[in-house]
Parts: sequence; C-alpha cells; structure tokens
Amino acid sequence: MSDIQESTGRRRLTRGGFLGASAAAFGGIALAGCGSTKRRASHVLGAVKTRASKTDVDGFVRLSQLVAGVEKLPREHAAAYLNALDAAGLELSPLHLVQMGGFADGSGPKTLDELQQSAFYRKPGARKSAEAVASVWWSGMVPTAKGDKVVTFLDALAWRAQPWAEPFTECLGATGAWAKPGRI
Amino acid sequence: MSDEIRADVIVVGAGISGALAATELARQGVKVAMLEAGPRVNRAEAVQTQRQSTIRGLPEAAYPDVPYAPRPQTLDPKFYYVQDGPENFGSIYERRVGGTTWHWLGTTLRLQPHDFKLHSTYGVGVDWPIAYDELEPWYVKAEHEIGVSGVDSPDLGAPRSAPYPMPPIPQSYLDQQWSNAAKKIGLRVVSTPQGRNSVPRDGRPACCGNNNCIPICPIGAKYDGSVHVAKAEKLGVQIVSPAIVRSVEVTNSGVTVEFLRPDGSRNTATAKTLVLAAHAIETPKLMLLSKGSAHPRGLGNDHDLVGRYLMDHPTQLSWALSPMPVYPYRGPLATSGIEMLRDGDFRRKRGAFRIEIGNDGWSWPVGDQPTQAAEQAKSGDIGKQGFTDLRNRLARHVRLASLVEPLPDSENRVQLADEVDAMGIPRPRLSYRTGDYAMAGLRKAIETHQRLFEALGATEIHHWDGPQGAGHVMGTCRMGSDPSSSVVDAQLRVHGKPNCFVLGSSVYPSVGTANPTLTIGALALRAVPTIKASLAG
Repeated sequence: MSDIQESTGRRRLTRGGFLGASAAAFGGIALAGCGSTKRRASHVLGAVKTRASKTDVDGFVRLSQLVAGVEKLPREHAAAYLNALDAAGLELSPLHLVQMGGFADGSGPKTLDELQQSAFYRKPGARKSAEAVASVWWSGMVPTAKGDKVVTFLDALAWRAQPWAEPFTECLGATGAWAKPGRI
Repeated sequence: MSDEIRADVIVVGAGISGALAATELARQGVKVAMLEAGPRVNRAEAVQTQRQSTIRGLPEAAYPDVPYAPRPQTLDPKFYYVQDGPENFGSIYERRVGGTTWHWLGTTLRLQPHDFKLHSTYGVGVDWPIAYDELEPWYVKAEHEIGVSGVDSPDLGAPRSAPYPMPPIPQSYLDQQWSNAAKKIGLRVVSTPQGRNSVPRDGRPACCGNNNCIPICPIGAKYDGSVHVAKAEKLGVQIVSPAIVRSVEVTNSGVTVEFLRPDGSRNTATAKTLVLAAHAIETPKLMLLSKGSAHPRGLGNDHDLVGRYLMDHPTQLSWALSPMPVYPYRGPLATSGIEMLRDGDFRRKRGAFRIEIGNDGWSWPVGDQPTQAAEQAKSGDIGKQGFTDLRNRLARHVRLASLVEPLPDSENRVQLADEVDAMGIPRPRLSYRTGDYAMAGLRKAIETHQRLFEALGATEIHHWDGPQGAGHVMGTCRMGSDPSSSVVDAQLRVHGKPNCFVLGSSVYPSVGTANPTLTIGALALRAVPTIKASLAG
C-alpha cells in the first residue's frame, strides 16, 4: 500500500471513486454546465447564520489572506467559514486567532512569517486552527458534526491554483482546447 | 394506481441496450413498452447534486438514491449487494432512465477478433458463438447510433469496414507528453475512440472539455442512453418509469410481466415478446426471481447457469508526479491509451490489458482538487508558498489505469439473497474473486506502469495495492450454442424461449479488454431482426 493510502486509510474503490469525507446533502445552488465564470461570485450554498460580528469577519478575512495565500478572497463566504470553524470544536477557534492576533483591528501580522513567529501562534491549537482556515478557503468545504459540508463549489480557491483549467463541470473552451499547453 | 400495459414487445430496463433495441423496433413499426425501475434524470439537477456532494468524483455522485430502486454504492460495497466473498465485488451500476451510461467514460473500443475465439486461439476461457466478422457491420451501426469520434487508421486491432462518423477528439497535451515517454520503451500512445461529439451532431453539442464525463457530461456532448430513450419516445414507445419489475412469466404464446409502482401497487404488462435489458446484475436477479410454471427453476435457469460467470475488468491504478507541467484536469477524462498490449500469445498464461491515460490528474485515487487542497492545508503547507506548491503539483499530476482481462469463473455469480430491499424484493448476493489469470495481468500492468513512469521521469510513484472495479459488470447470462453451458443463444434468445431475449453485457462469454458499451450496442442492434421475427411466430 502506498504512503498516501496509508495516511488516509483508503480502501478498495471503483472507477472514479475516492474516499473523501462522508457525503451530505446541502442547500441549493445556481449553476450551468457551460456557464460564464463571472457568475461564480453569486454561488453561495445555503443560508448562513452569522454569529461573528462584522469586525470579527473582517479580521477573519485578514487572517485568511495570510494563511490561504490569496489576496482577493470571495468574502461572501467568510462568515460561513468562520462560523463553521468556530463550531467545529477545534482546540483553538479561528475567532480566538482573530482576536488574539490583532486581526480584528488590523494591528496584527501582515505576513504569514510574522504570524508564524508571533507568540500567540505558539499557543496550543493555533497552528492547526490556521491550517483549518486555509483548508476551508481552498476547498470550499467546512467540517460539521455530520461530516464535511460544501459552502461553495465554484469559489473554492483550489480552482485558482490551476489557471490552465476550469472547475470540472465548467466548459474549458472550444473542442480541443486541452491539446495546447496550459499556463501556470 | 393500476396500470395495464399491452405491447408487441416489453423491454425491461431503459439503458443503452434496451433503448437502442426499442428505437430500432419502433422504427420498424413494432409497438414497444419499456419498463424502468428507476426515475428519469434531469441533467441540470444532476450536475447540481454532484456539486453539492463532498465526493464529487464518484460515479453515483450526481444521482440521488431512491428507496424503491436501490443500486450499489462505491464507498459501501454492502449497501445493496450482499457480498458473499471471498472478495467484495467493487463495480456499480445505475437504475434510472438512461441507465449506467449516464456515468460511463465514453470509450468506444471494439473487441478484437481473438477476443471472440479465446479458447480456440489460446486454449483458455471460452469462445463466443459468433466471430468478429459477424459483429463488424453492427459495430458500424452502433458507432453511428451512439456517435463515435475516432481515428480510422490504425484500426487498433479491430478491422473496420467503414469510417467513424466523426473526426477524433483531440488528444490532450498530457497525452502528447506520454507519447514521447512511451516511445522510449517501445510503446505507442494512440487516440481513443469515444462516444462523444467532436463536432455538433444529432442535436447535441461538441465536447467543450468539462472534465466531468464521470459522473455526468453537463452539456450532453457525451452519449448516454437517454438519447435513444428520447428517440424511442418520439417514435411512440411507451416509457413506464418508475416500474419495478418483480417477476416475468414466459410461454410460447406470450409474456406477462408483473411490476410494482413505488407506492407498492401491483401492475401487469403483457406482450408477445420479452426483452430483458436490465444490466448484468438486475437481469439475472429477475430471471432467478421468475419461478413460474413455465420455468420453475427460474427463467432460463434449467441448468443452473443464470447469474454465473460474473466478470469485471480488474483495474490497476497508478499515479505519479511528472517532472514538468502536463496541465491535467482538462478535456474529457481520457483521450488516449496504449492498446498494443491487448492481444498476444501471453494470453495463454495471463490476462491482457489496455492502458488508459487519465486527463483527470489524481482525482480517481486521491480526490478532486478541492479535496487535495484541503489535505495539503492540513499538512501545514499553507500561505502564498503553499498555494504555489499546490499549483505546481496539480500541474504535474499523471494517472494510468490498466483494464485487465479475467477468465470466466462459474463460481463468480449472482444469486438471490435472503435480505430484501424496501420493495420486498431480494437483493443480489454476489460471490466474486479476481482469479489468478487476471492477477498475473495486474502484476504485468504494474511493471509496465513503472516503466512508463520512469520513461517520463516521474517521481512520487504509487501503485494501488489490489484491483479496482472498472464499473464493467459483465457475464451472468452467457451466450453460447449449447444450452447445457449457456443461457442465451447466438441471437441472444434464452434457450428454449423463442420469444425471450437478453441484451447487455450479461451475455458476454468472455470480456477481452475493450470497455463494454460499444459491443453492448452492437449486440443489441444485431438482435433486433430476430426480436422482430419472434413476433411472427
């Protein structure tokens, strides 16, 4: 068994299958198989109850820009991500990172290096909390008591990591566009 | 609710084989009714369902379960199947209008001449009662009905009497890099014939590279069984869905089909001729359930053969990191393969295989890009550097899958389980083992994958430990000349039942290495004249 298999405990699968988190049913989304990517910003899955304050959410976005490594974030998902992570039972909630790290008032670290060298980042659970923040932005999925849940498909930042492609289900372009080299 | 359905021909199952036959019969003026256990599929809703799933690459991710027509699930091999061992059978299928072609890859390779004569050529397995030449004209017709894009020459070991209906789907940039590597070790990468439009055709658009053939083509460029269901309906074929067939009774004077609606109400359909086209698990299950006075051991089961010789293409999955960007995750999920390993004298000792080159990166073994990104973040590689690392790795993902030929084994079988589904119908009980012949082929596939990866200069090479299911459920109602060793004859008639036919991959005596759908279509079309002739008897 390969190292990847061992690390994730995957088992025998059929074509196209992989062992992700258990599936769950989620709120409706608008989509089209061959639609314009310009519509993506409006694709927010499900209703979001905002428990964190606007200041907290703004601070969470500042933290997220550092840990996700992306300046321009689809902010409309920030509250959903923050609330889900706050409810996920992490040893240290990202909300605490926001508040302890000075992200709420904008006085906090301006780079990931500064964050990782700060005193509060050495607190138990801080590193895992930051990684969880990057994870939700990159994947568009949040942990819940019933398994992972999709907040957004098209706004998952993972798609931006492949500028040579489109999110699957979206049209790439004219027939044969895949025959040419991409760009990174 | 009570329905009384009367037709010349009742078709059970609205997948590709049933829909092709129904359409062709209707074109010839035959009154046909199709009964399908599952629901219809709305393409846009199915894409929506897939996007909302956290396991989006699964074949069934786009199709919600329905309690009245349960189907197997990838991640829970005992969800519907009752697995009797020694191994779990891993391949699944769909029960809905259009059938399993909703999530087929779209590969439309033909079987090769020796695939039909395995025993007489190599001394193993069994021969088909028909030869390649007899099926060739029907391959041509199936390619036109499905709409196949392909390269006419080379013929991939299957001589052609007519060109493909459409020019080939362009090979990916990734394929071109594989081609360069393969040449170094004497292998050749060739374009894969595919049931997807390279140009607009038959009211469907050309492929625009959604990279989502499994579980669903969002735009309908890839053929699926719903295409011919719609054609059949326009020709007057009655589609009855959901209609869960509970049993059938076949006499020389006619057939009676008992089916249930999801509310449990019982209904009847009658006809002169019956066509069973419910794929290689549901068809034998229904035949075993049908213990009427005309066939007390089950339909076609006088010799205890229904359900035996269950097969798949055990698949070796391998993946690695290319030294240079190859830009995966674009285009159809596969556009090329290595087909020169499908025949040879080695078949006396081990299974042949074909190598499918994936355009889907590491989606199959590891998960889709968001899932991979989440895993990377949890490993601590985050921030701008982490995002750059993610990009550089995704650009270099390569994947190979070899579909290996097994030998038919009578102990691999479908039986009726004691456990029942929500409608009170016994679930399928499966006995299955891969077998030494296929295992030897799988080992050879690993060796070949390793050589290919090394020729490419790949790193982080992984070979899955054990076979994957290909999603190719085959065997179980084998075709043959001798009623004591087969269920249907060369015309796909159940032995001794001139007005009862079986369509689909269940009739395969052996399976070669070609993905089965094109041959399913060719066999179904070839059976139509005999089905029609049965009405005159």
